[in-house]
Amino acid sequence: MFELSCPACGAPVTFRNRVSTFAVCSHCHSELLRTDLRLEQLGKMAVLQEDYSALQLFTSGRYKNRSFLLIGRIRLAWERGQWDEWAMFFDGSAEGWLAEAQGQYMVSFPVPPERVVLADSPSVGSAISLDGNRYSVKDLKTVKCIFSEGELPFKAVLNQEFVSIDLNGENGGFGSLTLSEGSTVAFRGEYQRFDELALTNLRQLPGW
Amino acid sequence: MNDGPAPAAKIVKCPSCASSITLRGLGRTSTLACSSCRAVIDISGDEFKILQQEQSLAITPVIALGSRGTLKGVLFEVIGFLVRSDGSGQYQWGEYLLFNPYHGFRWLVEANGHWNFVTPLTTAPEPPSGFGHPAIPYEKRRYKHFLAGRAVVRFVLGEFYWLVKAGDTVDVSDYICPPYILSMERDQSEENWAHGEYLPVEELSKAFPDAGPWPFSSGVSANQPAPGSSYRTTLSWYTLYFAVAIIAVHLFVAATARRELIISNSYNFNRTFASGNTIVTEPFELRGVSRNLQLVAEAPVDNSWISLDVSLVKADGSEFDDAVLEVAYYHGSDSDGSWSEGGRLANVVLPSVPAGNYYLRIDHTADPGWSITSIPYKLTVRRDVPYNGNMVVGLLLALMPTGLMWVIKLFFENRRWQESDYGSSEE
Repeated sequence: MFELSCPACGAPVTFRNRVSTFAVCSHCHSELLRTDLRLEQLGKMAVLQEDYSALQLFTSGRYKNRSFLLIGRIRLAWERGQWDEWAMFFDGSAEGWLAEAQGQYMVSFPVPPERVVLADSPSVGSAISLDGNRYSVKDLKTVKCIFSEGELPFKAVLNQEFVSIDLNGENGGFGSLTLSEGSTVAFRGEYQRFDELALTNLRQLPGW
Repeated sequence: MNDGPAPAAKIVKCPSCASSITLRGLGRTSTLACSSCRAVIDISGDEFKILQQEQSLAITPVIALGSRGTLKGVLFEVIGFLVRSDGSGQYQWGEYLLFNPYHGFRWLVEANGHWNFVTPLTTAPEPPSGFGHPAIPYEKRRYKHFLAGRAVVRFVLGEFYWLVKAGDTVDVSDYICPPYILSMERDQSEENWAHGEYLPVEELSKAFPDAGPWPFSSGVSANQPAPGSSYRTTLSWYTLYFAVAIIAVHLFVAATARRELIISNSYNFNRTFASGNTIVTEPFELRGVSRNLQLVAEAPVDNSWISLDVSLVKADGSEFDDAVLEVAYYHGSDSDGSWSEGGRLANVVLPSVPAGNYYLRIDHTADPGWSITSIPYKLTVRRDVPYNGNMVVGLLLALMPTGLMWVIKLFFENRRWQESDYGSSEE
């Protein structure tokens, strides 16, 4: 864990994950790109209105007997809706993602690029292999970042576009591909129930 | 940073009738049906789009939108209500969407006054297997196929997490393992599974005390537990243990019965004298705790009878108990062959005779057509003999309530499966 100074306002910006290359200053909401120990301001992140997320930065929980902390968030929007992806930080090593949609929680982990087999331009129904498991493309959509906070392992500035591809797994698992700025990252995951995750430090919602 | 408290629930204006609506789904819902004008609106995008201007039905939910109640330890709010029917429209049921921002969505489904608490599943269970009657193994239980059909949305109110309007149709298939049910719904693009548990209306009305009036439950619902489910298995096992214990005790008592010989004498019924009608035995002493007393009479009857009216008399002359020993034996042959009826022995057991001094007084009658003047017979009296009667009665009493319970269950299951695609041909 190390701390750098925000180039815009001087407030401390903490990095827990060595792999995080992007952060949003908690003080002045500047979008900051990190190279080694230098921070460069890219722009300003918007304030998210009507945020009813049940999760928040530094919510913690357990997945398969390991504790995690949520250290970053990106909110993605498409024409029919929005959802959050939260960066899960497991003590020092694995980087996972926790997504919540319709009260269902999904935990996923990146698949090493050498374990991803896919066609050049995937379309609905295309077969994809992740880590030796077979998936098929469920849908593709262009999404854009409408908000981000905390620290993230990729650039997530306001209005940045990604192509998000949902995959159906053979045994009910799910996967996804995220394409941005020429690179593709694949993820594999499973659903978890709220009580399975043993979440603490959840966001307080009015009336709840 | 968005780490401050979240804003209060959003209030919007209905694009059709302009009335104010509070959105309860906290950003997780896509459809809204206005309570005032019943227009169905797509709220998923930046702008609201009207999906249906109006609906032909208007049905009041039993549990009002906005009601909150705790079920399975979690507080839920009712945010949506829809009414669906089968393909013909004759059979309708209500569905209530429950929301908790942390735990997600659940459903309350009401059909014929019976309620189910339903959880949407994220992954499909294994496909059904089994010859004859398909069943799905799920979480260590077997869910047997109950019915397949269609579900058509007839009316919507409030919010939903997918785009829905009146007329939407899906194929459904239900599998039961009472009190649980697995439900599958499929349309052109998606297949969704849900797991339900029968919810007694008493529990539901405690969670939502302001709701009602609760519809009367009629018939047997698919996954309704049979009466006595909670204790039937335990009671059956205990009955079995009890029956085994009864038999064991009886075997023990029989093995340890002393069969103590008290009298073994031959007597004569002298019919020529009036005084020969009655014989009094020697007195005898019975010792120890109360035990039974067996009287066995043996007489050389041959197509005739002799009847001994035996009184067990205490030393002070008062009668303690009495019994009739009738020895009768008939035999012959006719067109069907030879036959016989009765026997040369008669046996009676007097229960619980306490210690003391007694004698027997025997009054005799015999078949008047029997010409001999003096009828000999042998009387054997034994104390503490094994006696099956108690065991039989004990077993019947032990097995009866459990037997009755199983009969009730059988009739119940019959009624249950009448409603299925399988008629009443199931267990």
